[in-house]
Amino acid sequence: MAANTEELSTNPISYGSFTYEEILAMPELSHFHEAIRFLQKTPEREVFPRKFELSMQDIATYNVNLLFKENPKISLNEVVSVVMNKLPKDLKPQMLLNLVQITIEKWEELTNEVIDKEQSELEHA
Amino acid sequence: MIKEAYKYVEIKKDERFVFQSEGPQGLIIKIVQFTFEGNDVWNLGFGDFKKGNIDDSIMTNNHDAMRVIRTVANIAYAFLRRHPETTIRIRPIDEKRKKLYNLVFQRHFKEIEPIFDVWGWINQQEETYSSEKYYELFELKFK
Repeated sequence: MAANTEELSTNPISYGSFTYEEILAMPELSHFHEAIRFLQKTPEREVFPRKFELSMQDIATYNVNLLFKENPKISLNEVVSVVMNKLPKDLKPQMLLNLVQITIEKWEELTNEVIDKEQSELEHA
Repeated sequence: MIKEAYKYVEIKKDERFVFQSEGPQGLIIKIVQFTFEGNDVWNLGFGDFKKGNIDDSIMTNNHDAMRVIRTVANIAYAFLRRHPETTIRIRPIDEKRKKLYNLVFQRHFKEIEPIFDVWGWINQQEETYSSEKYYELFELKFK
């Protein structure tokens, strides 16, 4: 702990890197203690839940876009399967359901765009 | 990057950082957390700790926005120094933050560019960052 206390007073950017217990034992960092106790008991994904959900949605739509770039006629089954493999395996069922829905909607949107484009090309041919 | 930034504390092994903002609204605890998204990508989460909970929806208005941004930049730099092979993803959760983050990247791109490769997302499609465009998401990686 002596080395840690020394680091607290000398590093201009960071107090240092400590475990939860070490921080809670430091009176110099008592202004952080309530937040540290909160973090100690809160799982990673529940600290910023909205951001986590948005990031999962982004991963789903980003990968659908990517798959369509490679193969504009890709099947829905294949898209859903690839996207689900890109997502963490331990998502809550409701979130997983929402992500499947978002994936399907994005697949429909991009498939419709491909069909519209093909029809338009046929009409101009 | 040291100039006018807050001093932060890092939680060992948990990719979480805490610092305190000071201004007219008082002392406000800020939390930064990196969450793994797969494929060597980590999402940077950032918000205020208030009344026993996190609020990442409010704009604090503590008249220290640049100091807070510099602190988050220092934290991001420290994180990437330790994980040089990884990419940080910065995702604004609303329009106000999207504007702010775009402004920060536009204004500081000359400082960022020599150190980091930067990408932006438009309509969920990734491209190399250009300060003339408006992005919905940013990615940074050490060159």
